[in-house]
Amino acid sequence: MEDNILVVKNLSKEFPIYKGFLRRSNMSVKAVNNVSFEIRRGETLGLVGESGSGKTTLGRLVLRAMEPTAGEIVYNFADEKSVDILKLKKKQLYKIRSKIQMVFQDPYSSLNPRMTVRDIIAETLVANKTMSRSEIDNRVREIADLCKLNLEHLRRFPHAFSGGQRQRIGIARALAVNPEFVVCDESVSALDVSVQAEIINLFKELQVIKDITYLFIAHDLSIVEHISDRIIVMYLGQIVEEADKKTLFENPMHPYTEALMSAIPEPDPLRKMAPIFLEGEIPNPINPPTGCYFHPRCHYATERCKKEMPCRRCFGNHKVACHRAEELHLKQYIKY
Amino acid sequence: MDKKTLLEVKDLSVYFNLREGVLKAVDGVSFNVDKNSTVGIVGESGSGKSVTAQAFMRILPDTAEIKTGEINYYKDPDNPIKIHALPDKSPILSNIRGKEISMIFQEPMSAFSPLHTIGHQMIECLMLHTPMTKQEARERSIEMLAKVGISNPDKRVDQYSFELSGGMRQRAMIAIALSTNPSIVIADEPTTSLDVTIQAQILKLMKDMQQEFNMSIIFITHNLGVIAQMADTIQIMYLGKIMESGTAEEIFYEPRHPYTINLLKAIPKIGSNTGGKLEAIPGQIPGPFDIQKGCKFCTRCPSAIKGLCDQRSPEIKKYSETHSVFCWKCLEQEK
Ligand SMILES: Nc1ncnc2c1ncn2[C@@H]1O[C@H](COP(=O)(O)OP(=O)(O)OP(=O)(O)O)[C@@H](O)[C@H]1O
Ligand SMILES: Nc1ncnc2c1ncn2[C@@H]1O[C@H](COP(=O)(O)OP(=O)(O)OP(=O)(O)O)[C@@H](O)[C@H]1O
Ligand code: SF4
Ligand code: SF4
Ligand SMILES: [Mg+2]
Ligand SMILES: [Mg+2]
Repeated sequence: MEDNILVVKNLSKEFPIYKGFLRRSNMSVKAVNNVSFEIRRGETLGLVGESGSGKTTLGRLVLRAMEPTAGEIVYNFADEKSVDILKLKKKQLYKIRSKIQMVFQDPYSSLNPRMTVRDIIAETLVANKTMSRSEIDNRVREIADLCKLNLEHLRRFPHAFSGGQRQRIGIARALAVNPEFVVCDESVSALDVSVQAEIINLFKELQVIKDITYLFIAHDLSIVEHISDRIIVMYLGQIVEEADKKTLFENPMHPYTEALMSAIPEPDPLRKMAPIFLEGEIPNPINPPTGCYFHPRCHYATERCKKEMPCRRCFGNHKVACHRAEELHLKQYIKY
Repeated sequence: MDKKTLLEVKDLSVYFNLREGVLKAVDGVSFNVDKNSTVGIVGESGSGKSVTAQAFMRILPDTAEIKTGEINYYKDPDNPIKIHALPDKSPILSNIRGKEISMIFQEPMSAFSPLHTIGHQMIECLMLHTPMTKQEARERSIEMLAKVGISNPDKRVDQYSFELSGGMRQRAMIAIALSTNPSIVIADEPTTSLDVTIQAQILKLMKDMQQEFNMSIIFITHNLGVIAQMADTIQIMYLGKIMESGTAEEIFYEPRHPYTINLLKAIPKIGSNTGGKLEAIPGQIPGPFDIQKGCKFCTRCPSAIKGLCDQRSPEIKKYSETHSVFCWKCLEQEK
């Protein structure tokens, strides 16, 4: 079996911007810009980056919930040869849909208020038409149990549940079809602290029991650090750094990663943060800067950075897109 | 009254009279805000943080009433203003709202009118509350925009809020809030919708401004990291009540209340618990109408004492001049 469950190559997504009364599109936002990465079977890959950097777009693209402008997305499922999902016709795509699932940020708006919890969880199973009613009932009960929902809950409607419970319903729905790969987009961000911990634990437990691979998108670096094996950092549609989490926090090599870490508010009044201030504003993705996209805000930028876009270079398993990666010796965030 | 105290909150209760019944949003809250210091109010959703802040400025919705308690403002130490008792249309109250106490919200968009430029709104506010002329107010506005780190303030002053990015808008709101030189700034989740890098800048800005303008800050958040970075003293709230209060060091290094202890264990800390389980708090926050006797945390508390915690509201236990908790277990341990 392939080690990598997912291999993404040169993936891009441009959104056209319509302007003027002819509504001709001559400009576009490169929300995801020539991105390549792999996800290993059974791991959690964390994805961080500021608002608008393209995290959600990337998450939707790999599920083909959105058509990319260019690129290749190859899955290696446990029982099959590789599939390039961009080459699949609608019908074929439908077949593999149950192997790749998504858990959304907002447990409130993502559940149909007119369906019972049982029907919400069973929805995809019913649509698949491969299981009998009693098989579906058994599966729903099994997954509800794993997600710590009572059988009595299954008859109710989602409005009767708290935020944490609704998120568990959302997770149960995604996992009912036994997916191999799940994208979690800010799936715990809207939850209260005391409930958040429980959902994070649930994600981890289910990963072990069900052998799931996660792409875990979140803006909270403490949560991403806790749950991930490896982390990728995005800036303006590009991946600027990728490493296993310990390497990333002990030895960040991209100036943006360093700045991001320096801004983490530590829950410790005696460890005051010393944030590195990024000059200027987040650049406009419609009209990105020349050279390295980060150069207008980077403290280490040189003339070369203004002209030449850095390629991604590998230092073992640590990948960085910065001209000065090896000479900078950026600030370590923590020693494990 | 202590000379340092600027705002004194005594046994404040705010109730909502709703069709479903009476909702005790704030239920007997007491604390002091000292001059030039930052009080953090931390609590999960629905714990009553925003309603507490609204009471200080008397901007509560019509369905709410201040049921008990006092809010005393010691601008003049010998002659406090009793904010809770001021009539709705009192000129003293409008002076407090516009000048003495100002507020920064989570969503800066809602603080600005889309119909007027940022400058127009700042100038109007300044002319209402200070003797400045229009020209002086405009100059002051530009100066304030520059202070909060907005580039080209003389151009930005004539822009509309929707033309600014989220971080810039939050800066502009801080500029407005500080332009009248208030004694107290209430910041209700001021950075919750911002990226961490921008959040760090705004937090630093607030600290710098506090130094420069000698003001007190009431900082409301659910984020324990942010509060550790900002607050001198902290109030931990749960379902309308204060569970524990102390200096930031007391709360983070010697938490005593089971809720505080649990909360601190529930947040992931970078580098500490790699791969392990987080300690979640069992159960869920009860709904606002699931009124229960005794301690509000007793439905989820691992140390609850049957027959006591679920019957009687816990009394105060003081660990130091600054550190107190409301918990029967803590009181029992003493004996
Ligand atoms: N449907 C769309 N049409 C046009 N532009 C879009 C669309 N969806 C996203 N974008 C743009 O693409 C860029 C990336 O957006 P995306 O939502 O992927 O960012 P994100 O990293 O998920 O941000 P956040 O942290 O705020 O969720 C942004 O500039 C956004 O405005
Ligand atoms: N206008 C209102 N009408 C009715 N109930 C209200 C109103 N405003 C607040 N409440 C209730 O009062 C209680 C306290 O609300 P408050 O907004 O102060 O919580 P909070 O601690 O600020 O929470 P959050 O972190 O979600 O902002 C909640 O139960 C809330 O539902
Ligand atoms: S390439 Fe240059 S501008 Fe870009 S991150 Fe590296 S040093 Fe900074
Ligand atoms: S009073 Fe009782 S229930 Fe409340 S926190 Fe203390 S021990 Fe727990
Ligand atoms: Mg997103
Ligand atoms: Mg609030």
